Amino acid sequence: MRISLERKIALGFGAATVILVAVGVAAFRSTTATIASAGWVAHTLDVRADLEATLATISDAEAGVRAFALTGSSGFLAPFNSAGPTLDRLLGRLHGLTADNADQQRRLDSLTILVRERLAALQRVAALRRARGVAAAAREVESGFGRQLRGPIWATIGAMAAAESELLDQRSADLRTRTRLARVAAWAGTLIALGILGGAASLIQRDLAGRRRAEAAMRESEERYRLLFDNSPLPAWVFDLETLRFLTVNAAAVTAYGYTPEEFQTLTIRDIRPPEEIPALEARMNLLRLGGVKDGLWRHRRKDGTLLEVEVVSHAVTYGGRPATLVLSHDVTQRIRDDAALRHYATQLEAANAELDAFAYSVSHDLRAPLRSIDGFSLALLEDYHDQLDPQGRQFLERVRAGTQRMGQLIEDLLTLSLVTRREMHRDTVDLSGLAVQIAAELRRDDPERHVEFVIAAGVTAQGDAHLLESVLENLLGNAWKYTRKHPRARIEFGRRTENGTATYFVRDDGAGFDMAYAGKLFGAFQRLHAAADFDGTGIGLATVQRVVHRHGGKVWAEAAPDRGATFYFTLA
Amino acid sequence: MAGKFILLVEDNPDDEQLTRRALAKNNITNELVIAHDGVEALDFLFATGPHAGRDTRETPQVILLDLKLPRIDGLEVLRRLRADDRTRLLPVVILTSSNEERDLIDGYSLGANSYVRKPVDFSQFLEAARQLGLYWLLLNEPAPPGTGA
Repeated sequence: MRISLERKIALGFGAATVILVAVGVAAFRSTTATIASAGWVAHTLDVRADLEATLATISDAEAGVRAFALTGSSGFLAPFNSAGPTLDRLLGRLHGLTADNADQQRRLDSLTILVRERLAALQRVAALRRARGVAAAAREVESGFGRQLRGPIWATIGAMAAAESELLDQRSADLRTRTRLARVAAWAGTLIALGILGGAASLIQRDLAGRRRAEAAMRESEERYRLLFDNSPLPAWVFDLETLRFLTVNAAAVTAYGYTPEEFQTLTIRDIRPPEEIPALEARMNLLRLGGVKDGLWRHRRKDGTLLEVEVVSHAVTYGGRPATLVLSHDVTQRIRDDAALRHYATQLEAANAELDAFAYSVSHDLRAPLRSIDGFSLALLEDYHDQLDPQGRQFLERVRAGTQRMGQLIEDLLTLSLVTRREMHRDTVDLSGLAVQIAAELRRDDPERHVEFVIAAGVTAQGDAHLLESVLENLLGNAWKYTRKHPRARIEFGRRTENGTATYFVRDDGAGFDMAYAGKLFGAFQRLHAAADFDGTGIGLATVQRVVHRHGGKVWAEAAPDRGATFYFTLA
Repeated sequence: MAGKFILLVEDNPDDEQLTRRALAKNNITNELVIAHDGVEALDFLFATGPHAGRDTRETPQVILLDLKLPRIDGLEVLRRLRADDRTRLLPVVILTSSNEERDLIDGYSLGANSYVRKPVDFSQFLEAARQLGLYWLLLNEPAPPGTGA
């Protein structure tokens, strides 16, 4: 059960109060007891005084009677005469004083009797002197009756005095004990009360200190946020969730929207929107009040009436004790325009690609058919009209046929080249070594009489499009095969090496090579560095290789020397 | 017409002549029926239009079908052939200049039996014709006539 701070303090004060009251009561009772005891002391002193007075009175009376017995002068009888009433009075007072103690009363009773008898005895002595003279009186005195009385009287008085003292001692001891207890209780109670008060005070103190620290931290944090808010490069503001008025805006908002901070204070968030946006705003506000959707794309309106597209992020806050919303507004007008432009270009690109596709398709059919006709009928001429043609005529027709076939090949190569550009790339792990081996086998199969040594590095793989990379190797190995045609024994290598952390693949041959001076033309479409008579080819192969390599993000280059072979290097990204 | 005959669906007169020549050079003497576009081809096969009255049970040994045809193109002809019981089982060889993947896939999907590219080089074409003739006319056995239903 957790007790709140206020209850703890209330309980503490309550307990302290109770204890202090108890202490007060104890103190009061102690004082009363002390007064009572003072009374008891006085009481004892009174009793003792009365007892001594009694003794003195009797002694005086005795002395007086003795003196009278000796001298016969009645002047000496004065103490005796007054003794009676005096003793009555004293004994009467004693009776009152010891009324509460049965023992003392008993003693007092016997004392009273003794005293009376003593007085009577003395009376007799006096009477005898008066009547019969000294001798008779002396005899009375000697009889000792009177003397006998003296002992008990003294004893009784002594006993009463002692008893009274004892009583006093007892009461004193009693009082001291009670007083000590009361004192201890008072000390203890006071200390406990002080302790509780001290504890309560410290709790209050801690609580206050904690609160002060929290306030300071919050102020500091508010300061920081204020700074961030004011200096934010994004326009930001806080608006009242109910009235929709602007509560505070930052500098960026002033710049972006054109209103001064004072003007903002008079506006609601409706005023920064064009009229057609208001219904959507109302709908959103309901959602927002329920704690719903926070972000979105909006159209706003500046003071000068121009519109801007903004991306808005909002966040519920409490501002000045009222529910409000903090808004960050990011001008994305340009971005939206750029997006639209991008989409437009993308559409155009797609259209262009579609056109290319259609073009390639049409080329497949439409350009080949006439070529076939030219070639076919040329051959028909050669065959059927062989005898009517002279060697020159026949040769012309051969060249016609050769021309058409070459054109057919060009068309193939152009189609391949365009395919490379427009085909979608599917990236995968490609086994280049495997491909090279396959291509080498095909080259051998097509021309089994050649002696070519293939040195193909094993396990060379790369990330890229399998089809496209296959065409790269076909071209490079095919070239190597072609340009080593004139060597009786040739050597073609394929491998990979690492340069500056990048994997570089190469195809090397020891064939015709080329002059590095013309290396710049190497990869141009239809560019050739050799006469067709020496090595045929359309000049598309390397252009295709370059396009594929570039699509993979890599580079291709070559090193060669005439008749000393060539090495073609390429990287893929 | 008795005996095995070939239906050649080809719009290009040059190609038509060269195909005739190629077959002849290979001593393939079977009759060659020419349809110049898809409509003619279908009319012939289903005995409609100008060919009304023809016995549809007389079916070609093989149909050499070009793809790019005016009016109704090759793939559409193929589709309709395969949809009709009378012609469903006829062997069709697509003989075309195109090697577009799309055409290959479409051709086979629609039920062509074979796909041969027409080479530019005529001597290659001759060789192709020889092999086609050998296979489809001599080696291959078509379904018995009238069994498409």
